[in-house]
Amino acid sequence: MAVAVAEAPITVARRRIVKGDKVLVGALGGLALIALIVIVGPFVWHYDANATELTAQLSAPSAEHPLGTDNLGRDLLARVLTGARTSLGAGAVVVIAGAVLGSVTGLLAGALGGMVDTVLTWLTNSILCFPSIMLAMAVVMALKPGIPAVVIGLSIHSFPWYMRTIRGEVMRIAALDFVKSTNAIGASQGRILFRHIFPHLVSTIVLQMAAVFGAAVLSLAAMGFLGMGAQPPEAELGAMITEGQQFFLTGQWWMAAFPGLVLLIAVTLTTVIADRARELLDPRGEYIVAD
Amino acid sequence: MPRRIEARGRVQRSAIGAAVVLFAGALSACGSTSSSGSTTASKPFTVNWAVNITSLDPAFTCPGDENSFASNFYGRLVKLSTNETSPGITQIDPDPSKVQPDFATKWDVSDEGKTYTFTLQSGKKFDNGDPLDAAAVKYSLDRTLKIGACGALSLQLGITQPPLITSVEAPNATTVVIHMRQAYPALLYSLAQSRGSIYNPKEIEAHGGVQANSPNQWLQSHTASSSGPYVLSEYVPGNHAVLTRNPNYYGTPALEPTVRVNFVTAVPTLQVQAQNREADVTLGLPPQVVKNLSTQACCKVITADSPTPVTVSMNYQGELTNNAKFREALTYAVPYTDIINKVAYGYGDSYYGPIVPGMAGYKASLEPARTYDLGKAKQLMAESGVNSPTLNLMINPTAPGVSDIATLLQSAWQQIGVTVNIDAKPPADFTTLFNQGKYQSALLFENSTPIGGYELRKKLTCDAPTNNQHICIPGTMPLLDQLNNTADPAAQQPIVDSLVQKWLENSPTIILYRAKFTAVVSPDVKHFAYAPNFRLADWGR
Repeated sequence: MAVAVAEAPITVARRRIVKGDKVLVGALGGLALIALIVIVGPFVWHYDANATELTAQLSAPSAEHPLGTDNLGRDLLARVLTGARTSLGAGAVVVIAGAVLGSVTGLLAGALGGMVDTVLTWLTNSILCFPSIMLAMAVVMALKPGIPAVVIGLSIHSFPWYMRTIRGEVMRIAALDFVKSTNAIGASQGRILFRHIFPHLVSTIVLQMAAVFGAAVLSLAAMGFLGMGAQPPEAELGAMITEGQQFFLTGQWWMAAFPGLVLLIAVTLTTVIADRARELLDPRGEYIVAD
Repeated sequence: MPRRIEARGRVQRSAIGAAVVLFAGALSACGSTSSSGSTTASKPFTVNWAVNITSLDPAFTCPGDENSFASNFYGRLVKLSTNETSPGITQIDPDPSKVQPDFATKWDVSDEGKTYTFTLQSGKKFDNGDPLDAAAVKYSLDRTLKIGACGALSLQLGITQPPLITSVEAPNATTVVIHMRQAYPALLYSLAQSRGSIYNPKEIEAHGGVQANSPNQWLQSHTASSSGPYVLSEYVPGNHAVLTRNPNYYGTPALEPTVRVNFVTAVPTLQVQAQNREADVTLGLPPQVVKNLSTQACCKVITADSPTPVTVSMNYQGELTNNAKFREALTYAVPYTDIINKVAYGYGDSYYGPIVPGMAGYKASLEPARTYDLGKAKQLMAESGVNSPTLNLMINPTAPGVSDIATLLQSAWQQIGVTVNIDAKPPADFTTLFNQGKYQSALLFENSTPIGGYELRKKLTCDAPTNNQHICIPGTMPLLDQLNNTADPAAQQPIVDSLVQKWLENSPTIILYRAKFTAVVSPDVKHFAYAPNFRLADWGR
């Protein structure tokens, strides 16, 4: 059993992915495909996302405009590609910023304890008193409407979740025999923390990132929906859905439907990944699920 | 790991929610072309209004919609005359010389036009039985002046320093005398508006009284009895209000015994309820929705010329926007026709000047529309001496159509070398910054008063608090003084013309178009009247 404990869960997960968890591989593949399309697409597709052409206003999907055009005659495919890049990219920034900040503070709080732990716990509890949208709105009010302000607000709100989880994990792992042994042979605090404890936290962080990503993208969309996210003429999925909703019932369904569909697919895929990752990265899964 | 589960659950719920919304929207879209024609006889007359009312006190509140709603509960000394534009549909005439008696049966003008003596109907009461008399009128006008807010400014047509109205007297129960510092016949126009409302003094004194320069908080969500055609019998702020006919109203009774006003800001809801005839009248729909509904059997669209220009206001003292040639160049680089046809969906028209067409004082020959002329715009840009400028355009993105117009202007002005930075502000910030004049340019849906002289005074008086653009054109102040002291509208016109000419020479504002008033009504509605203050008493099936 000692081998099972020493092997990091991420290693187990990688091995199992390679062996073939079809749902997870499918979701990861789908997300990778979306990422590839939104990164490369705007450079390949010949329409400018912001170029207005009023003579083509509200055109239905066609060969010329596969997803139709919006009320200013802008090509919707170009805007969906650019908008998805903005939304998913901003979601990724929120996830990474939250993970970095949350990991550092979680490690510090869990390892050092005492006053540092008390202050950081108090700080994170205070932040979590606010709904994420409210906090993002407060940051937007303090700065100015736009994606950067929303990303800052959502990042601030996301890091406490990482911090609390990692703090608990650090405390749990620090009490295990192998850490105590390492300590007994005279290893430094830093070495114990980063060489022996941190690898065991990677699965937790990755899992948290997958969960936060979907929530962040939806919150970004909600802020765009409220007019506080992307500002005109910048394309962003939430803002596009807002613009499109007024035209939904007048027959121009494509304006809201396509951005909504992309959002739905991206969030569903990350939800599936988070769900599968929880099972895969759980060290106990090694004993429950046969390879 | 409860957090992981919780976070995942939230994402799943959100994703499912998004799917449900899309599905529901798709279902609604599928049914959008049918009209159910539900029965209307048994339900109260229903008005769906895309507005959020925050105050019911016309003496205090500024927004036009709030004044419109609150004005239904209060009578006034006089009323505006109306013209029938089509069978059952009327529109007001803003000409002060055509004002008609209302609670006052007649009035006499004396002291070279500076004193108005009104004779009132006798024996009238508020809805609760309290006497409606000259004392109530005096109390109401004094209250409006004492609060000193938008009501006082509007009641005196902008002449507040020193005040136009020097005193109000009530020598007996049926006589009210208004003394003015100078003759000003347009006072009758403002007395006919919400600012001339007659409140029940007993109610107000019982609920906080009158404080100088301060609103009465109770009146933000209550009415001081009713002297008007309707009584507010139920009010849930932000949701709905129920109006019932005032049995003691001194005038012609309201057409409908009960009116339910729903305050709904969700456009899809407004649209679906209009299609299903759940609303008899729908107000505040975006133009593309109005256009769509105009082609359906469920609805008919009523339009009216209203003093509501859509403008880009330039800070006259601001860096870059203080250049007259630059401002003028921008006016010739606006795709006016495209904006009217593609953004306003035809519910608008063009003009260029400080006085909106139809206002008292407007002269069409002086204010012809400017046209899209890229060559002229480029030439003016060259003359302005400005190179590769960046213009900050402040917008309130929550207002329908604003982002579209800003985007179009950004593209259009790029062609003359002007980079537009669209600066979106939350509604409260937008209002504050604009009122404080802290902006370079701002895209506005204006709501003007249909009195040209008043508008000129508001916008051209140097250093006036109402002059948000900081416009100060040499030679205008003597003309404004002259205008303030000229009572006769005919004698005012040459002065107004001179002021308009000075405004045009400086192009301080870009008038994109004048938005028309639109209301979507059910075919069952047989009577509808448009006025700056909506008079629901004249609407009915």
